[in-house]
Amino acid sequence: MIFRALVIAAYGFLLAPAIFVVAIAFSSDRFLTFPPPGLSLRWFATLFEHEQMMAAMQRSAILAAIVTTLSLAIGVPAAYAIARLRFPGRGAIFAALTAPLLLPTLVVGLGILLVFFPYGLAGTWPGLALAHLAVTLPLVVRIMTTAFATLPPDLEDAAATLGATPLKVAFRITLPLALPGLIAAAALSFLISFDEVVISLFIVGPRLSTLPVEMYRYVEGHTDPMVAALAVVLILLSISVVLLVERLVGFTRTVSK
Amino acid sequence: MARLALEGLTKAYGTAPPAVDGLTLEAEEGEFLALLGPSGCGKTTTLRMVAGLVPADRGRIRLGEEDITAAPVHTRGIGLVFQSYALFPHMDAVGNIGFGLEMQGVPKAERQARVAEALRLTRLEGLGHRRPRELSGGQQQRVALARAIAIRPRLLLLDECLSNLDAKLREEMRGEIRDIQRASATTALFVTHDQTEALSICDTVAVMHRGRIEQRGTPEEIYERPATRFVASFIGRMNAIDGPAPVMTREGPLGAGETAMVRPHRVRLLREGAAAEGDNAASGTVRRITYIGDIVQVQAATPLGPLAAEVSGASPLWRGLDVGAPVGLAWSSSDTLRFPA
Repeated sequence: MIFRALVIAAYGFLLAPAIFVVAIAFSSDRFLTFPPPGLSLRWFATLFEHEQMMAAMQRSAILAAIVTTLSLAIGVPAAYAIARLRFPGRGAIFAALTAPLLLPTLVVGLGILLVFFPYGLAGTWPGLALAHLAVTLPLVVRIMTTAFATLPPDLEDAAATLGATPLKVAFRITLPLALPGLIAAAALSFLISFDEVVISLFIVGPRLSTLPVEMYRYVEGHTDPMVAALAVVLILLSISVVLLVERLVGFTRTVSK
Repeated sequence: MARLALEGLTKAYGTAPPAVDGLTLEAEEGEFLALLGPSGCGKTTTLRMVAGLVPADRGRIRLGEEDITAAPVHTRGIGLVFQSYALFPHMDAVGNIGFGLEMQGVPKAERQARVAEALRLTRLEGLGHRRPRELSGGQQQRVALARAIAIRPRLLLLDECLSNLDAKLREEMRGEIRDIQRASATTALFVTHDQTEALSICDTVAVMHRGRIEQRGTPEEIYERPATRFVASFIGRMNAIDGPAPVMTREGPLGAGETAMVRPHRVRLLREGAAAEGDNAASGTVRRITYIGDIVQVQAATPLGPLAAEVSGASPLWRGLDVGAPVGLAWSSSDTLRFPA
């Protein structure tokens, strides 16, 4: 009974900000007031007509797709090599690839800016994609290394004895069996890139900025509930990705594995 | 369906003594050869080298006329039944069995026919559309076997593949594996630490110890005429008497620095007062009586050291015998082997 109450309290604490945001998003007032004096959808209408915000959302979606593709393309083979092959420097490579997970993003962002600026990468698409990779790649490597390490190596050996070339083994045995991990890694990469604000703040330029950065800038200058409406849209997007993954493989299983 | 020849095969892991040390062994076409040895003797490493899963440091592997020492795994055409079965969990039995044929590019119609044949041979009809986790241990083991033979391998390798089954099923599968191997006339190498398995299903047994072959022979030769002390003590139960002692062996009297060995079931148990028969005898006191069902083992302390005799469980000889009772033991010199200690 006490445990139940604790769980409810913990959920309440975690969800409270979202509840406030959702309530304000449907406000009819021009300011961020709680409780809202009346209900309306006017801020959603404002949001969808706000060209700058909509363009930023599109850019962020494209960027997240690129970052996810690159993270998987680089991270999956790297994770496979780390999990399966024995080569000198294996531990060091794993440590180097996953270390950014332990650093404060502020430090990573500043470091990236210092390195990127002289090369003219700041404020560019490649610059933003590379910066986001610094966060998503370690995550993909981490998830996929675990996913590959838990596959019994006998299965791949068996496929090879049955005449499968190494490429066939990868596409018919290894990757299908690592699919839950792959989907989880892709979903998390996408959400993190789409949501990333701290590092992006260092890298974005006047003409190229992402949705979270636009949001951040907007709340600096405005006090209307449009941002809350946008937050609701983002929450729905995150929930649908999680539900999709859950539907496909069982999110709880893949992330906790 | 080819002759297998291993010549001076060697594999060392790190700086430890080689796991496989200059091993030379042959299996004739269609022969069912057991590689028998205690765990850690290098038998699994040998099998993995033959399959191509572990590279050999030195030596040659020949299959038929071909030298396959350096051939990539997927080109060898060797069927391997893993101890873990290694069934693909995301495919049903048909998918598992057909996988090798698909890799070989066998057309779909022929593939289906051959999968059906493999299912029939392994008595799995009707279970083709089950996933591995929906099959029992024995059925999984059959799918693994069917998958390995479906590719019509030049050589079939079996890696301790019965050890995960319970005793009764294991006995049943032994017979089935033997029948399937014989029907397809496939050369087969069966790696096991279980001597009963090796002796009961294989044409030939090679006993392996410390990375080398100690003796290769028919099950009867291995059991009746072990070539080394290791083989004698590893196969079956053995009494060992260290010389010098007043014991006659097949090869003459037991001298210093030698060990005489005799199987407990060749030692007769004599109750007090009975006349000794045979040319070797000892008297002692009963230390332990172990009832195994069809046989009873009586262990006695004698001046020659501890000796065991086995009698039929139905025999009246052991009835009423208690620990501490005086007994006589007698055995023939023709059943007594002699080895340098």
